[in-house]
Amino acid sequence: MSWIRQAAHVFRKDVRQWPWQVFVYFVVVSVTVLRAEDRFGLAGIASGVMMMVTTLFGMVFVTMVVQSDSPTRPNAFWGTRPFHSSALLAAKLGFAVVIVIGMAAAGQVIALTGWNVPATTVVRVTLGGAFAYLMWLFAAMTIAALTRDLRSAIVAFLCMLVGVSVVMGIASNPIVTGASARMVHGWGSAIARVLGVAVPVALLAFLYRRRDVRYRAWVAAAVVFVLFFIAAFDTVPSEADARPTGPAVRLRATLSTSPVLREVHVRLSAIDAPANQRLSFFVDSSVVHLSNGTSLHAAGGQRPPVTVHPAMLPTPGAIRWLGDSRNGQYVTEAVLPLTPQQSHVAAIGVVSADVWGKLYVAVPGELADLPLAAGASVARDGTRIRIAQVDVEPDAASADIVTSYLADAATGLAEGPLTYTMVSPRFGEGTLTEQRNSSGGSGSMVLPASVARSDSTRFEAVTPREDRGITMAPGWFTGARLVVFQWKSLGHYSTRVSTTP
Amino acid sequence: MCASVSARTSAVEASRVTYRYGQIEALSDLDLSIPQGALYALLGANGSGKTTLLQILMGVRRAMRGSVSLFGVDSRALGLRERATISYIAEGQPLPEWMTLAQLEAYVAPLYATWDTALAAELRERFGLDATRKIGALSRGQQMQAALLCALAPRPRLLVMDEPFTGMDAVVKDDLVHGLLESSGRGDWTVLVCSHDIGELELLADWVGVLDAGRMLLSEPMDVLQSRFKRIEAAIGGDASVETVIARQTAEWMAVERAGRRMTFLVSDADADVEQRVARELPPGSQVAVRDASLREIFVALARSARRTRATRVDSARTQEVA
Repeated sequence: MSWIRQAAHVFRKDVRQWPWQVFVYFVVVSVTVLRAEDRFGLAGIASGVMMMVTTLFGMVFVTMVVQSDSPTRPNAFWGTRPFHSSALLAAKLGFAVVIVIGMAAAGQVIALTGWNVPATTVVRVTLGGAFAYLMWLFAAMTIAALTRDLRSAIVAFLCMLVGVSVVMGIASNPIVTGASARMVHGWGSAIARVLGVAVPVALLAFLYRRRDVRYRAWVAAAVVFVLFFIAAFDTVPSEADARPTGPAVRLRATLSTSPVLREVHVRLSAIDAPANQRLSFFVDSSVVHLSNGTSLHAAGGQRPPVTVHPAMLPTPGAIRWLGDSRNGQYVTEAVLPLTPQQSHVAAIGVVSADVWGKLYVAVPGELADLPLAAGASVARDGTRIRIAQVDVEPDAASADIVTSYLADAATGLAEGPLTYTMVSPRFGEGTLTEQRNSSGGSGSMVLPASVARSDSTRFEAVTPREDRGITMAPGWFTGARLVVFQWKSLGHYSTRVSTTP
Repeated sequence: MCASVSARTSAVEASRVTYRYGQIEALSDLDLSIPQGALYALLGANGSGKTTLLQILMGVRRAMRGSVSLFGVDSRALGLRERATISYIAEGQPLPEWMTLAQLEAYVAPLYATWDTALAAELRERFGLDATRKIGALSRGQQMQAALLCALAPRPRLLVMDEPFTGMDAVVKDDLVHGLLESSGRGDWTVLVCSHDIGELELLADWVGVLDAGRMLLSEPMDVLQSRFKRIEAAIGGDASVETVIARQTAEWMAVERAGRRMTFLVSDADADVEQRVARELPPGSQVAVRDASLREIFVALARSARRTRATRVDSARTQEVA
């Protein structure tokens, strides 16, 4: 019997062995898909719970499949029969990938179709989730290979999970290793992902071939768990270092010290910024120059970035934005916090500051254009918007809007916050809205690491102040529409700004 | 038969095999040679290392020291071709209980080029197994028969069985023994079986090995063993007390037991004049009867003797330690 036929032979045996479990798993995945789709009143179940049920079921399933032909039990049925040990492993991995991950991935694809995302995004999100799921399954298969039965596998898995997470927690503490936490991102993360696949497969192959387990196998299993932690939970996006096209925007900065001098304020404005680009500045570090000729290093890392240039919103149907003052020079302040000691020293007088940071560039794109009426909804590019309730008065309006989006930053979706506006086609005018209150939560899709967030927010139309001579005509909101813009990142570049006197 | 067997190359050859479970030494510098065509019975008390030895022979465990070869091939490097010529029934080996016997045969058969469908059917018939019943629904004895069927149908060159008679009633055991004997008569194969059912092994085996605390006490053909070990029954004559006789016993007397003025023991190097030799050691007027020792008697005598030797060794070690 050839290698490939043997692998298929064992795979068929495994499928025949667990027909009911396959069926139950199919049902679990189906329920998870329906939950992700908010169908059949399943919204009451937390979607994260369903994802965890699917994942745990899959882990238990692969544990049983591995232990049915245990690589390390001396009296395993296959052990003294003419099996290629690697064919047996291939059959088990095939089962994990084709049956367990395949079914969940198919469910994920079905669930994603309701979000109206491009096919490439569906593939990217599904592959990302499938990879995270594979890491969970590898961890389960490794423990299954080293234990005798399901119960001991569960106990060993929990012990390993707790033990490794404690060690990882200590190791990733910046006090212990300042750089290690950053090292797992970027190249370190990519290497961990490759090792996350290679090491468990190599360990399983070794166990199936060697069979005689010693304590060293458990040490290797702990390594698998460490890689599993890094690869499965490292969902921090790799920062796109792409520079936006076109010439870099220059920033002008002036000093604006606070009276208490707990912090140094720097007023920032953009010079020659394109009208359609929103620019946000993130302070990395800064140097404050004092009147006695000395300097201080002020802390950076201020979040969120300050907007130094708000873009003009596009004008659908050539509408006019009411009360829009953003055509003029926009000035904002970046805050450079000082420590008490620095404040004491800086009391002598601050003369200038050099600020290093990143300038993020984003442009608005129209995401949705809905009638301002309860029940109106749209799904586009991984975001769903549904108007739950609308209160319209002659000169005011508010709307409760439920916005759901695929929040996994690693997928590149949900690139920026949304701007909600109300537009009156009748008058050819539009106005911004203000957020009054908000509630929401995160849930999961079918596969791990695919998070969907849902927010329920009340927006009120901003009515322009009459003192500026802009008024809203009676009946402005009759037939009004909700137009939503999404900010899409064009990239960022590093820059240095020095204050001018 | 023994002479013809021993003239051939070995089916199993183990040299200075050592294996430890942590600090516990399961096998210690063990040597073993099983000639091709032998029906080899491996005897040993619980914990003597039988199962570990079989697992090392089958490549399931790796010896920490020493070498093992099957038909001249290192057991750690057994390829598919070699594995297809070896059948192993492990103690407590779980069969896929969800399969019917027919499904089990269909699963296993494609792995062997030499699978004999007719033999499988014949064995099924002989054991009275229903091919449509699930393995899990069979009794323990029937499950062992199903395992045996799967082990014999490929017509292996080497059949290794670890406690095959466990859970079988006397009739089934008898069937199994006769089935094995019949099958062995048909082909040139080697059987290595270890079991606590010494009575069955005595019927089967033509070679015997006794393992104790990880060391081989003996390994030799059954006929040599039976000619060497004799059971002596003596009625002590005269006025001498039995205690005095026992106290004066020679080193070759094993497993000495007494009942009134009668005593029995085994001698391990019997020859034609063993009766006269023993009579000279006893008080005048004693009566001596000599008969063949059973395999069970030989095993028990050897095991007790080894245990006594170990205990003496431990005692002297402690004494030295205290001193």
